[in-house]
This record gives sequence, structure tokens and C-alpha cells, in this order.
Amino acid sequence: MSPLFLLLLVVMPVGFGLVSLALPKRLSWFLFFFVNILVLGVVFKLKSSTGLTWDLKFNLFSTGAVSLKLAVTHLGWFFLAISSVATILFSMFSLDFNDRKHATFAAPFWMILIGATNGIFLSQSWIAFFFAWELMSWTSLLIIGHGKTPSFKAGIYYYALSFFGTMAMMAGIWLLYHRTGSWDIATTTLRIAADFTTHRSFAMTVTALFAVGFLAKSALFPFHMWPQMAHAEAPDDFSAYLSGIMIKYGIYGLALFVIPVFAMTPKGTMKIISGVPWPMYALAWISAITSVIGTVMAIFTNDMKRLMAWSTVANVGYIGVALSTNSSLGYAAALFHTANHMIFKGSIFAALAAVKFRTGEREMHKLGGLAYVMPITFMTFLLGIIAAAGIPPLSGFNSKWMIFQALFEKKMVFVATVIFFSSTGAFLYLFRALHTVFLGQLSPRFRHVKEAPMLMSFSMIILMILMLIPGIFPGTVTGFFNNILASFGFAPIKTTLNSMTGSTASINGTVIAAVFGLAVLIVFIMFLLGARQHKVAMMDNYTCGEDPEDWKVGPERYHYGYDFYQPIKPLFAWMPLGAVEKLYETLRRSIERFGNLVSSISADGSRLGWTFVIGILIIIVTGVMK
Amino acid sequence: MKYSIFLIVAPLAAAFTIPMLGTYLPRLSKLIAALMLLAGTALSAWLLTAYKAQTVIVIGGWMPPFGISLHVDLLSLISVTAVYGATLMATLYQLFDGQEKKPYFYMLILLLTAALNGMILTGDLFNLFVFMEIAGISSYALIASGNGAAGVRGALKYMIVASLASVAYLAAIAIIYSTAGSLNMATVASGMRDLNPVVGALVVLLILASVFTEMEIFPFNSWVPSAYQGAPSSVSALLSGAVTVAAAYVALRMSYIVFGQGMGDIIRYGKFNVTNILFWLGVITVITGQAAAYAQADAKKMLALSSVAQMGIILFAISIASDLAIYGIVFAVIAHSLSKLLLFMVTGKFVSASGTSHWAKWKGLGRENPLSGGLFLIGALGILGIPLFAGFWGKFSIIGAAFKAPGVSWIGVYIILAATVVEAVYFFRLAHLLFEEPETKPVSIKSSIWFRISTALLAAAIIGIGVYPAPIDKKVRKIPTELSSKNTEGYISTAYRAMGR
Amino acid sequence: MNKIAAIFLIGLISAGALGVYISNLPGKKPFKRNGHNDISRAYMTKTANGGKRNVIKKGDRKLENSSSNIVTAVVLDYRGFDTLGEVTVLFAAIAGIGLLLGGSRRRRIRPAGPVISSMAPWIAAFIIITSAYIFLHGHLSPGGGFPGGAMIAAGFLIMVLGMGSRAPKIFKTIETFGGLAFITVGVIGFLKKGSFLQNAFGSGEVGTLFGSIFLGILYAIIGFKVAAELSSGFGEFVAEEEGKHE
Repeated sequence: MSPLFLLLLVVMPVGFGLVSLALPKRLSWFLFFFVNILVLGVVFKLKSSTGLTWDLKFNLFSTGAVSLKLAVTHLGWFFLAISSVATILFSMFSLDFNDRKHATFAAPFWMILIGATNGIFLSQSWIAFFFAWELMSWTSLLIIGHGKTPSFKAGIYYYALSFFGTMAMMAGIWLLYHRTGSWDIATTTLRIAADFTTHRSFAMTVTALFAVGFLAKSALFPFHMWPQMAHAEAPDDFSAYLSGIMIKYGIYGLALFVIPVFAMTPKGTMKIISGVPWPMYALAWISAITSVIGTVMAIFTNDMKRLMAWSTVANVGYIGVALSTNSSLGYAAALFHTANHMIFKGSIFAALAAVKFRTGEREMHKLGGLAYVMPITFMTFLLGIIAAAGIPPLSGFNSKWMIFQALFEKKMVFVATVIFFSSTGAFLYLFRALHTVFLGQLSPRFRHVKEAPMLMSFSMIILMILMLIPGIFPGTVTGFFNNILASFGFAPIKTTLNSMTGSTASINGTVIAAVFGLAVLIVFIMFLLGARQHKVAMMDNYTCGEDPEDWKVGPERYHYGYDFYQPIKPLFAWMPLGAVEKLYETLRRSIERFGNLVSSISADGSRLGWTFVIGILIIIVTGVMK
Repeated sequence: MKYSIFLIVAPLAAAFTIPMLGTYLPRLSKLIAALMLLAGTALSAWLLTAYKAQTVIVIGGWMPPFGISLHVDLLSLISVTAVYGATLMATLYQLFDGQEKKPYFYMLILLLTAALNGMILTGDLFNLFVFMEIAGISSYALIASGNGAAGVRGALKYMIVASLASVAYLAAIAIIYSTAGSLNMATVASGMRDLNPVVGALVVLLILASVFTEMEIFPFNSWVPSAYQGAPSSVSALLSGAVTVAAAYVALRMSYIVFGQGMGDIIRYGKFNVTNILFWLGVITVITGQAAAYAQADAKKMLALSSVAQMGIILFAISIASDLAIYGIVFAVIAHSLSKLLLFMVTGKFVSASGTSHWAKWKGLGRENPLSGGLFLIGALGILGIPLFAGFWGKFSIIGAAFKAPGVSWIGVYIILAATVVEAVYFFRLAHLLFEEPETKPVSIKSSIWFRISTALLAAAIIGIGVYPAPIDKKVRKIPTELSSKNTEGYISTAYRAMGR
Repeated sequence: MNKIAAIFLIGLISAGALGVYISNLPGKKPFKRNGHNDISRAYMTKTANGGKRNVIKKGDRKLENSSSNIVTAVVLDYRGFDTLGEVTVLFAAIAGIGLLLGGSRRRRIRPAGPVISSMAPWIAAFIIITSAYIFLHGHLSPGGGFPGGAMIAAGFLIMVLGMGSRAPKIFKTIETFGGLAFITVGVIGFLKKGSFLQNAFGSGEVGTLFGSIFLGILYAIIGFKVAAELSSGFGEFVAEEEGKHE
């Protein structure tokens, strides 16, 4: 297997993307699908090529070799595999989604983004990583904006936070290089871990800088507010990719660098709280807060995409908590939940995109009853939220179970309680979303709505299968973990094709699925044998003859799903939600005001001589300092 | 190498021909201007490739310090090539895509070019002053030739501040000559070591004040927004593409050679810690420049303030004074020059298409003219320092140098990194606005073949340098040795060897 | 008005005092011996190329540039490149005026009364002859190309105001050729002697008109150039269209 295939994985999508800038829209989406097929093929050929390396070293500025190194590692390959599988399905979906009416110009940039993603997962030198990271950032900004003003406002918010993190990472990379003389990720990780004994504050600074970068990208607190804007405003098919795959870059970074650093730190160098080093404990609480915020905000949102974006934030919180346990079980749980979340969130957003595609509507209280006309979409969404809620026999249950097991192992009781609250709260908004959009009364104006087009339905069916398989046979995903854990020095976890072993128990996914299947079968038989149904037309009993205008209730209130959880809102009034957003807004406005102040100095021509004098004063002051 | 004198004299000669040609054959005179700039670019590029070692070129046959000398080294040749390239692009832009201008306009551009190259190549302080004056006067007139009162206002502001700067510089020269007794940079450098510290401090103050005015450092840059806004787009491109290069070069020369005796250590001169001055002013300029650019509603002012911020970063890098910082400076200056040229050329088109330079009114121009929109994006990515585009290597090296340097340079890095976030916001804000759905159908931009060729070349250069910096890197490697005084290849040693001492 | 004059005077005096103070601050003066600059002494004794000379006497031959006016020697020979720059500064300034003000419509100035308009040519002639003397003898007595050229322009102005003449286009041509001539002299020096603006014409006896022909030629060129520039500058003012900027 030639190392050039690694370079190809990065360069080929970028090349195709640049070419498709000149092509008409439909053709570019075909090309996009084709590129993803190629990527998937190469990725699976690389399965057994761990350790394959492509390195471009060049001497720049006599600082020694700048190396752009791509290599197949276990962790990298895992992420590559799950993201390319998910992406191929999304690209199939997009092919039908971008018909004449809905097509966007996103395809060329999305292709470049695929190349950048591959680059991120393959990079083994910080420079290559940074290149791919930045490329990913600005192309995703352009896709999110896709030529609409409110979308761009959402996008630039995301980009500003992410770029801030990227700049922090740049600082970290240079500090690493000056200390270790190497750009190589594996080498620097080891060196920094060792540095915790001797150069404590330096190692903390470097790790903190990288952590900021990865936290910003994965939308952990205090960077948690951008997905609800960006994921919601992005083109509908791209939202699946955003929420499914792109949010995981930060997780990949944490898993690649930050967690191994703390895992490799010699015992006794850091203060341990609840079984983990204190920075990891901090990460646990950050993630826990993130998941609570995500859940609460999701409960009270009316826009379905925004709701699911907050759900993503909450899920990333779970992953962060899992990573913070600093144990092999936690690491494995994080990886498992990452893979599962990619699929189930992707399918949720795909279903929502299909709904929007057919109905043109994004607000939940204007929809309802779509299960009758879009059954496949409904099933996908149903399985998606069941997986998201963590109910067996779907994949989400297994990964959430593993997360809790990891927490129990380290006896992080308080964190576990918070996560439990958030996880259960997820049920509130997930099921509401399902019921409001798909169940209930079908509005007359949507009676004619057809099921999603063929390719979209087909991709959704495959997504459903992909949600079932890790639930019934957890070993299909967990089988990859032991190699990854070994590469970072973690102990292996016990897992077979059907079962997993945690810290307090072990479960057999197949058995659970069988039990569930049996129960469903029994109930279904009872349903068939039971009382007859009597179909009633919707409008017959809808308002029971009353006229809601009498009670000053507007039309949107006809839908029971509007602002469904409004009664329990006062329960959460004590939470300072939106505080961080206000902080950022204040910051932004003060920069603007400062800028205006500076401009006003130069606008007034009569002050020019004074500026010169002030300049001389500044020179004198700074010259005699120190 | 001795043909370097023609880098200054040739555009001067071409400028002298224009009064006559402009009266009888105006079109020919404009063409001659463009051809001369092309020849100059070719000459400097050739000299760059044929470069072997530093050369001192004596003028008038009198050995320095009795006469004037030019000092040709790698940094000056690179700067001269950048100046010529930028001026050529700007002139072609005005000639084929801009308003009809009198032949005197092109003559002033030639004079400006000659003056900037003179500033770069000279080794004599008073000669530098003379060329600064020529550059200044040409700039005032060029800026004032923009449309309406804005041009005159901008030129007037520039003239007032620059006149103060000239007086300061002249006073510094007077002090230097009366105390040290020489005007040659190398002899002054070694001779000024023993001066009275108060005198030294005064000299530093005056020279730096004057250099900073040219280099658009806060708070000497109050002229910048009005001047860039009022000037025609080609002149704004010239200002940020060529004049800043010369100004940064002069600042570097002054700091390292005249004040510092080569690079490496903290520069102390007289009572002043010059490194400190450069550091703080650089950082303040970055902060104020980026914030002001973010708050701007006028596109040309926004780009001008972005140039200001870049100059702040370069000044900060000069204060670091290490090898890596020098690499960063050269790359940053080249990348800034290329990207700003591209940006000003494209925004010039937008201004003429939409009739206003308020960027909020440019909604949708990119949809109608995707190539121009894409070029704007490329220019913006070049300035921001995104990897795979030209500006990355400069910013990358400067950050690395700042972390490696002893002292408080690292504070500056964090400030600059944070300021870059602001920069990203305002550039992408505009880049995306171009592609948003407009209310009314925007105007289609007409551009000449020269515009397309020039912008394509610039875009290719920006991406090319970003992806493959090696050719420039090979040249840049030798520069720190030439600048340092710790070896026999340095500036001062070479100068003294030429003088026969 | 008085206040401004007072501030100006005070500023001037304090600047002068500061200058004297600074020049006499303690500290080694590396290029000064016996109170004189190395460089200034070399200029005065014409030893920039080495050698030992004390006093310049009439009749001395081949003394560097053989000019008896030291100002001219410094301006045109030792630092001739700066002078090229200064000429260019004036050139640029006039070009700026031309660019911003110049119009094509020529305004006729009404000639002044018969007394002035009849005497104007005579006065102008005298002025022009005097200024020609001044710039030709630049290397022998105080004066030179700049004052000479300015005076010629003054003469021309008298003609314009007195008789209503217009700046003929020939001035532009003189400007051009003046500039090119200067550079040509420099290039001749480059080709024959190796440095730009090096004296390729040799030097003769100190104090004679053709003793320092190099300087003489240069000052003549400068005189014509400055005269043409200033005169065409006046022409631009005269032809300025009301309130229009280009």
C-alpha cells in the first residue's frame, strides 16, 4: 500500500472541489458523491495499514525540518472510517436534496472540507494538523453562510470562536516545538506528559492552549452557543454533516492529545480529585454543565433544527465527561458515543431535512402527523431519537451505558447525577420533537406531501440499519477500541461481538435486543387481536365545536406542541442561561466602540499635530521603561 | 551589481521625459511609464538572481563618508523588486481599468518609484531624507488626484503629519552631523556609540517619529484612513503595496544598523531601550488598527486600517530581532504587498460598479461577478495568514520567533493572535456579503484583459507562495547574516571594507 | 498676529539654543578633530580623495573639482546625487501642481498699462542676463543654478504680468531635456569612470570659468531646468480653470 494514498486522501477531494467550482450545481453534487465513494474505498483499503506514513520534510528558515506527516494510526483510522461511512450516506442524501429548487453551491467547498477532514484524521505532525484544521474552518464557514445573511451571522459567530481556539492552538504548537524540537504529535505528547514533573506550569499552559482550541471546536462550555446558530442556519443537508461529524474534530483533538497527556502523566504529579487528575475533573464539570445547558435549551426551543443542535451540544457534553474519566472504559465509551452520535444525529437531521424538503417548514408547531405521509422518514427519526435517548436495543443505549459505567468506576457521583438528569431530560425534548412533527394531526395543507425522494429514503434506511447494528452487536464498533487503547497505553476493555463488560456489570446487546424484539412482538400480536380502530377525520373533534378566538388564542396555538414545556419554564428560571452569550456580545460591542474611538482620532483634521506630539510622548515613555 | 544605480535613475529619466511627451504625445508617455516599470521589475529580478554578495556602490566617485554610497544587499533587492512589482500592477490597473489620468499622474508614479527605491538602496542618511521628500511630495499629489474633496482632504492630512515627520528627521540629521560628523549610515552607526546618551535618545526619538509616520504606526497614522479613502484605488494600492515596503525597510535599517549595530540583542541607544519602543508601538498599532478596521463602514478605510495592523505586526517582529523574525518580516511584507494589491484592485472595481465605497452596499456583487468575489476571498485569506496562502509563513515565523525570544515578546503574540480573530471577522464579513442575495440586481463589472492577467498573477502568487515557499526561502536565508554585525559579512563590515578601512 | 510672531521667535531662539547645547554636550566626537569635522575639513581643503592640502590658492590646478565656491563643490560634486534629488523634488512639486490644477483653457491676462508693458521686456532681459551670469559663474562666486533659474522664472513672470505672454510649450521640452541632460552627464560618468555622476570632464585651474567644467555644465543644466519648471508652473496657475480639480 503506497504512502501516496494518504496524500491522495487529502489532495484528491480538494482537487475535485476546486474543479467543481467551475461546474454547474447538479454536476458538482454528482462529483461530490463520486469523491466520497473513492474516499470510502481508499479508507477501507487502509484498514490494515496502520503505521503507513507519508512524510514531506522541508527545511524552512533553517529551523530544521518542517514536516508534513500523514500516517495511519488506530485512532485516526477509526475516525476516518466512521466519518467516511457517514459522509457517503449524507452525500447520497444530498444528491437528491439538491434538486433544482433547493440546490446550494456548497458542493465544491464541501469536497475541500472532506479533504481537510481526512487531513485532520491522518495528520501526525502538528503543522499538517494545523493546515487541515484551518482549511476545514474557513470552508465550513462558507458553506454555513451559503449566501444568506442570517446564516452568515450564525457562521461568523461560529468562526470567531473557532478561530480564537485555532490561534490558541498555534501558540501551543510553537511552544511545543521550542520545548521539544519536534513537530511530531506522538513525540510531543510523550514529552509534555513527562514535563508535568519538571516544568509544571509550562506543560499546563501548553495543554490549556490546545484544550481551548479543541473545546471551542467541540462546543463545550464556554463555547457552547454556536451550534444552535450554525447548525440551524446551515443548508439542511449540511446540518447533518455539521452536527454529526464536524463537531467531533474537537473531540478527536482531545482524544489525540489532551487525554493521552494526562493519561501518561506519572502518578503523583497532579492532584487527584475523585480518581482523576484535577484538570480532568474540571473537564468533567465543563462537560456536565454543557450537557445540562444543551438539554435545558433544547427543551424550550420551538425550531426543530435548533432543538437538535442543542441536543448535539448535550451529547458532546456526555462525550467530554466520558473522556474526562481518564480510564480505558471512559475513553472507549467516548469513542463509542462519538460513532453512535454521528449516525443517530445524522439520521435525525437527515429526516428533518427530508421534512423541510417536502413541506418547506422548519417550525415544529406548524407540522404534525407527517408519519402518515412520510413513513420512512418517520421511522428514521423514531429510531434516531430512541438511540439519542439511550434506549435499547439501539446503539445509543450501549454507549450511554458505557459512559455511566466509566463514571461509576471513578466514583464521580456528582457528575454522574448531573449527566443522569441531562440524559433523562433528553427524553423530554426528543419525544416532543417526534410527536410534534410526525405524530398527531396531519394538517390539511400537508395532505399531498410525498415521501422523501428515492436516494434520500435509501440513505435513511441504511442509517437506520447502522443505528441498529451497534445496538444489537456492540462488538462491531467496540472491536476497534482495544487497538486504539493500546496505542495510548490504556488497558484493554473486555468486549465480544455481542457483549461488553463495564465496571459494575456486563451486558449482552444481542440478548437485550432479543428481549425487546420479543416484547414488541407480543404487544403487536395483542394489538392485532385487540379492539378495532375507528378512524376519525381530524377536523371533527379538533376543537370540540369551540372557537378558540374567543379565548384570545391565535392560530399557532391550535397546535398543542407550541411552546410545549412552557409550564415548567419557571423551574429553570434560576439558571443563568445566556450569560456567556451576553458576555461575548459585550466584548464584541466594546471592540467596536474602541475602534470607533480610534477612528475618531484620525477623522478630525485639526488634531493631527497633537497626535504627533502624543506619539513622541509614547516613544519617550516606552523608551525609558525598564 | 553596479547596475543597481539604474534602479533609481531609470524611472527618474523616464519621469523627466514626460513633460515633453505628455504635451505632444500623451498616450506614448503613459505607455513609456508602464514600460519603464516593467523594465525596472525585470532589472531588479535579474539582479536578485545574479546576486552574490553585498555591494557598496559609490556615487560621484567620492568614497563614503565624503560622498554618497548605495548599499545593495539581499534585503534591499527583494524590497526593490517588491516595490517595482507593486507599482507596475497599480499603474497597469489605473491605465487600463481606472479613470483617465493626465500624463503627470504617471510621471508622479515614476518619481515615487524612484524615490522609494532610493530610500531602500541608499546608505546615506541625508540621501534618505531627500528621497523621503520626493516620495512624500509625489504621494501628496497622487492622493489628491482622487475624486473630489476626499482626495484633497486625505492628501492634506498626510502632508501635515509628514511635514512634521520631515522636520523631525532633518533635525535628527543636523544633530547627528554636528555631533558625530558624518552622514553615512555605517560610520554613524559605529561612531555614535560614544555619544552622550541624551543626544542619542533625542536622535532616536526624532528618527523613529519620522519613520513611524511613514510606516503608519499609531498614533502617527492619523492620516491613513482619509488618505486611502480619498485616493484613487491604484494609489491606495501603491501606498499599501509599495510605500509600506519601503517604510518597513527603513525602520529595519534604522533599528538594526544605525541604532543597533546589527541584530540579536536588545537595542539600547542613548537612554532609550529601542527594542521596547518598537515592541509597544507595534502592539498598540495592531490593537488599534484591527479594532478600528472592525468598526469601519467604508471598505477602503477598512483595508487601510488592516494595512496599519500588518505594519504593527512587522514592527513587533523587528523588535524581536532574531533570525526567525527576519524570515517572518520578509514573508509578511511580501504577502501583505501582494494581497493588499489584489484587494485594492478588486475593491476599486466594486467601488466603480456600485458607485460607493460603503461595503454594506456591495451585497451580491460577488454573485454577479464570481471571479471578482473569489479574488477578494483569496486576497483576504492571504492577509489573514491562513495556511496554504502567502501570509501564513510570515505570521507563523513571527509567532515562533516571539515565543523563542527572551523577555515579554510572548505577551505581544497573544495580543496579536487575539487581534487576528477580529481581522478574520471583518474580512469574512465582507467576503461573504459579496455573495449574499441582494435586493436589486447588482452591476456586472467590466474589466480589461490586463486586470484579469494581473489579478490572476497575484492570486497565483499568493497561493503559490503559500503552498511552495521554497524559492523565496532560499533567498531569505542569507539575510540575517548580512544584517548582523557579529561576522564579517555584515552591513557595517562590508561598508568599511569598501571605504578601505 | 503679534502672538504668533512672538511664539515663532521664541521657538526659533530656543531651538537654536538647544542646538548649540546639544552640539557641545560631552561625549566623544569620533569625526571631529580640533573642532572641525573630518568631512568638512576634507571638503574645504579638497582632500576627499586623500592627500594633504592646506590652503587653496589661485592658480592651483587639478584640485579635485577645482571650484572656488565650496558650496557648489559640495552641492554638485561631493553630494551631487542629493542635488539630483532636490531638482526632482521641485520637479515633483510642479508636476503635482500641473496634475491638480492644470487646465487646458488658457486665460488671457490683460496686459498692464503702456508704461509697464513697454518696459517689461527690457527689465526681463536684464534679469535674464543677470541670472545667466549667476548660474554660469556658480562655481566661482555665490549663486548657482537654483537662484539663477528662479530669477529667470521671475523675468518670465514679469513678461507674463506685464505683457500678457503665455507659457509656450517649449518650456516643457526644456524641462525634459534639462532632466535628461543631468542624467546623461551622470551616465557618462558611469560609463567612463565607473560611478554615476563622477566627473568625466577633468578639472582645470581653480578660479577660472572653464576650470571646473563639470560643475559648470551641471549648474547650467540645473538653471535651465529650474527656470523652465517654475515658468511652466506659473503657466499652470494662469491656465487654471476656476474651481475644477482633476
